[in-house]
Amino acid sequence: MSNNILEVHNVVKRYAEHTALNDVSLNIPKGVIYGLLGPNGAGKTSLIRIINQITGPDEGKILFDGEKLSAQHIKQIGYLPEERGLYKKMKVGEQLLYLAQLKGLSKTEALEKLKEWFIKFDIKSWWGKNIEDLSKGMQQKIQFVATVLHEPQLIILDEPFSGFDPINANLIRDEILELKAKGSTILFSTHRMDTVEDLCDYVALIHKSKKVLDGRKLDIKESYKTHTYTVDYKGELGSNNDFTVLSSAVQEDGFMKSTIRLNPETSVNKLIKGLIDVIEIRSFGENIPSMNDIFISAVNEVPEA
Amino acid sequence: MKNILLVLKREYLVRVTKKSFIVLSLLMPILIVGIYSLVIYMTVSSIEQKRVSVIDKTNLFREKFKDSKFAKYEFINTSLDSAKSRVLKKQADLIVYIPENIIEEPSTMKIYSEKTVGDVKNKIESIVQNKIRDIKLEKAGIKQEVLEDANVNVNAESVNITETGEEKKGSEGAAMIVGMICVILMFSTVLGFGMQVMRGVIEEKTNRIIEVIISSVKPFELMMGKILGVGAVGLTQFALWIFLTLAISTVAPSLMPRQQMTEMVKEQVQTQAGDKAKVDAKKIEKSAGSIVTRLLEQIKSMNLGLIIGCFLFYFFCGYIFYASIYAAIGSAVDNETDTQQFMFPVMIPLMASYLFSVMAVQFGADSSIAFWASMVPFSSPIVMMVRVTMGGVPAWEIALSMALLIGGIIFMVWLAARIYRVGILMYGKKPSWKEIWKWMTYKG
Repeated sequence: MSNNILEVHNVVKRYAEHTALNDVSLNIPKGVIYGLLGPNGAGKTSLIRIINQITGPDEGKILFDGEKLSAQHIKQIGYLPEERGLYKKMKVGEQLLYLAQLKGLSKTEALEKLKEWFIKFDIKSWWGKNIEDLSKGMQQKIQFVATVLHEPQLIILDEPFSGFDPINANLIRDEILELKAKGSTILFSTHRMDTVEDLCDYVALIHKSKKVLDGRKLDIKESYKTHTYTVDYKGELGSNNDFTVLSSAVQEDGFMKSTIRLNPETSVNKLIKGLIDVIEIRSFGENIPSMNDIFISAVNEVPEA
Repeated sequence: MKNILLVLKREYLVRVTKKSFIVLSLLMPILIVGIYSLVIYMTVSSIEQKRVSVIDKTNLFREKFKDSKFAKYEFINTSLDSAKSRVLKKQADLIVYIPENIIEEPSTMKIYSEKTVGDVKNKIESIVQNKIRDIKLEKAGIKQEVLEDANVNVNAESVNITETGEEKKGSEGAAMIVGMICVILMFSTVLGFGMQVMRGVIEEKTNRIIEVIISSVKPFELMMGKILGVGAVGLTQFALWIFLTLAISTVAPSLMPRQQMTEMVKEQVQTQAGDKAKVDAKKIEKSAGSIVTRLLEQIKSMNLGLIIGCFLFYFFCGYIFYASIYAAIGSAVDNETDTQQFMFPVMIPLMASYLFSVMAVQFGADSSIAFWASMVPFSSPIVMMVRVTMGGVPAWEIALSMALLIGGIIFMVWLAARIYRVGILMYGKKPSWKEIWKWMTYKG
């Protein structure tokens, strides 16, 4: 037993022309939502395929719940690839039964669990339909059910929200949170920062085959803080010993908006005290970097190889 | 292993429950028996009696032309021109003109007709020919009795001597038929079911379901399950075809115009033998029937157990050998049109084995080229099958050929699996031979 459901140690994957993963290490704690970020072609899919044992790493090792990753762990992992599809000419029910049995479920177990999901999603009438008769969004739902049916400990979702309409995307989002509440760990790969902001507890950023950044989302944000604040006010404001005004602008209603940086020796409380004397404050807030900002600055920090 | 069975089951059920499978399984035997019956029926019923007017200037042939099912003869004494008008007036279908000097110059005989006459012409020719020969022989001083005596019918029975010393009736005719049926069946099914495997692989790739599946099962298990599943479909189809063909062909003959067939054969025998051989009807019927009975006897004398056993073995193993190649091809491409470049090299050995087996049938089953072709796994399923039907293949050769084929399968499946595991995840550009070679050598 281990606190980490998955540990990736120094994994290297080389293809004939290029190196897809260069010495990548990650720890994914149990029961969290872990976001794997990175631009296209960074090596996310390669890493996911290695975790799914579709391909093997050239170097390095992977531990699943403290044990060396092996065939027996396949049942503990559910995988929804980015490029997804189903057998077009197969009935929904048969198809889900088949996929569940491949994951090691017995037919009766699979049937029981499928019933619950069909009731939950209110899709009972789909059972006997061919996949090709369903809309794309419907097919995605079926695929999601196939991914989580065997109640895996680790669920890997590659761009899970692509192709969903907002209503279904929300449905899936709620399902992901429910699965997390039940104790599953979710690893998802995406380059949509809004979902990262919304869902992820942990993130790792992969860029040019290397891990650039990883850790708790809050810790990362903390470390990327620039100690700048935005003040919305009326009056005149100039830099002093406590802070420096970086920029100011007049708003339509006559109020001013300025970005100021706190000087290192000063506390926020002291700053506010000083401000109250000179200006009329409408709002005051710390500038917390968005994941998008962090993503972009981290990617830009990496020197061109 | 469990996963292979699961995949196998899906592949099998998906195909067997398809309408096209059921239709093909039912229709094929009906089609075979139906076409066969139709051909026989058409030949028999299309015989119409031709009205033949004969102008015999020599008066030698009058008693030779006897009315039969094929022709009704009428002797006229008019000029050739007025005879010709009979054809145009539809009073006769044919005019036979025999000039006085026919004995000296046989090629002066003429047959006039409006349409092409076909078979009747041959019959008339042979009647005249027989008579002229008789006259010439008589002139040379050979008596009628000698002629009759000389008119014997030799129809040797070929007898094979087996190793145990027992005599067995030879079965060349039947062996050839059974052999060629085996070749055609083997060739078309190995090709047909192999293609099905390839299409299945391409389907999984283009549907993008492949990645979901191989996160649950190993690529090898998926490939093997698919190959075995489609193979099981093939065996099922064979079983259905054999069963249904047998069932239908036991029913169909009772619908045949048996009387007409006997008469047709009788007619044939008579013209061939010339009427010197005074063949009585019973004898003819016996000889006519004997062609069929002898064929049946020959088939019985063949080692049917061995042939069926070999057929199933060579079909299944030959199929797996080629299906694994097809699976590898399917994994390497994105769509069926891209397969051409790789299909051709696969077709060559198949076509070659087809030619080898035709040669084996023609020039005997023991030539050295037939021997080597029946050992190499690429051609052994087809060539060895033909040799077995021809008989007399030593047991060690069959055993060696089977062992080599099994070895070939293991190697080919291993090789295909190496290409397959890489190919199924590759999208986009069509790979070159060089790239495929690289895939084979990837480790892990």
